[in-house]
Amino acid sequence: MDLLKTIDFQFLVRIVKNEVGQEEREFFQGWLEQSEENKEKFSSFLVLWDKIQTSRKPSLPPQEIEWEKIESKILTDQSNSIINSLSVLNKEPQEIVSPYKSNKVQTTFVWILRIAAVFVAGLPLFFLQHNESPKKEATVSKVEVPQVKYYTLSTANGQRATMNLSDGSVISLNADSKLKYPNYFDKDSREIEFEGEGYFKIHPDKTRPFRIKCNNTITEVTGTEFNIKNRNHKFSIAVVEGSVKMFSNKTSQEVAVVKGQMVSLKNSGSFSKPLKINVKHLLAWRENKLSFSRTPLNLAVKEIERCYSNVNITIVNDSLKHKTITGVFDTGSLDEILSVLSITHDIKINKKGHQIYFE
Amino acid sequence: MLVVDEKSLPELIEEIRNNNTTAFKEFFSRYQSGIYYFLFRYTSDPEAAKDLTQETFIKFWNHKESINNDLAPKAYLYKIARNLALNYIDRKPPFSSFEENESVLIKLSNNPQLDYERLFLLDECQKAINLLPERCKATFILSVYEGLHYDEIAEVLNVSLQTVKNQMNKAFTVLRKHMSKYID
Repeated sequence: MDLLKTIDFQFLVRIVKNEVGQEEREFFQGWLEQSEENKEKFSSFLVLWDKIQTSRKPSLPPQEIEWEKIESKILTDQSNSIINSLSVLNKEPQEIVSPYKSNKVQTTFVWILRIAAVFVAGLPLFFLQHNESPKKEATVSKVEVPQVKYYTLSTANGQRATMNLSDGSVISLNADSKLKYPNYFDKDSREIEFEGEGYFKIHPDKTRPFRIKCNNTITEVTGTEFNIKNRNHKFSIAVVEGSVKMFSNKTSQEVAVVKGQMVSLKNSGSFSKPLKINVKHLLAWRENKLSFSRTPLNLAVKEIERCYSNVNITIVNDSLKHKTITGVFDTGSLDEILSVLSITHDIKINKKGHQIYFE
Repeated sequence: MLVVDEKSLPELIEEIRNNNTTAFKEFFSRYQSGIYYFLFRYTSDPEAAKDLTQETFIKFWNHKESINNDLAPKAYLYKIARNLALNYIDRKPPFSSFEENESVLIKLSNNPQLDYERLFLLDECQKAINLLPERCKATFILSVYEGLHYDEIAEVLNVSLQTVKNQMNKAFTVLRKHMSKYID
């Protein structure tokens, strides 16, 4: 069913690259003439080859700038090795992950300063590793509470962050989100506060239930994975692994949500019936994607704005606001998203720097 | 007429080993593109590729003493890049099944607009490359995109020549299977 043993893919590659001798070329010609099927096989290979050759790629980061970063690193070997040896002492590395792809000029190694700052401040639980976020850094500030110290990690538009908590739980924050957490958890419970959208991977510990306060709800879990979305005063939770227990402050209602289900909080303060959902679809943000399913344009626009640090979209034409959009967008290129919206929804897009108007 | 005297690779390496950063800059400018695009194809992430490219060259510099004349410097450089990329992939949360989800979405949607958006935004070829097993992926990228010869690839990956050949055929078979809907 596949190509003849002697005419394999490597051979075809050599043919298209013109790396074969006279004898092999004649052999190939003979094979090609043998049947229509062979011709078809070769032409489908050519299409594949063309796809491979024309596969999209980003532009090369500017050589001079990249070189300067390397140079500064190799010239400061000495000082870095001191900082590196210090950072080994840290058991809770925390990464701030660059939220999207761009070719902008950025500075690496700023994180070294962050580490130094953390040491000076005497916060031994974590350090920040600044990973080329093109925007302002996510900020950690201290809120004084007796005994246990609470910290707040917040992300702005165009930013994402991942937090490793002292119990081994990992929380990924999408843009425009806020997490308040203690430097350590006490013996019988683990409690944090959250706003925005985040993915929670809670380290199993039956003796210490994990509680998340968010928009007048309390989520209680022992060890699971789930996504919380609290946008525009609307709260929803989607469970990826295990189960969670939800509690509403307003109505004292309690519900259990299990793997593959989503529950949202209604205005009345009670929970919706669990919906079966495609969990992965909801988690597109973690893959640098925006996923819309019959989403009204005005809400979609807010999500788009969150992906970039300095983008402001105004819907000028009111009739557009309730148009719905469906589709998966790569957040790599704002221009691509805009041009697809423009073509498929007949929207006139007017871009003036960071201000974008939908007309 | 100005004749640009381009140094041979062994000359360049010799100078690098003597701590000559100018020579190292020349070395970087020759291989930045190759390493960057290898890492981009491998990780599907331009930002990660950029970071890992820097790390690759820094690591090369830090281990310059251990480059001897037996080991081709180019293969050594790609070897470092692949190892760093492997570590990077290991650290990433395991969310590779998004593609599956998307194809489900397309099938269910029966929506030409959505199909249009998908084709417009996503490069099916890179996604298919992403689905290849690690060694197979590395082999394919090094050969097709980086133009390395099979014996060089064998050195980078520490495998036999025959393994490289097998991996190449496997890569094409998988790619053709995953891209057949765009080809036929």
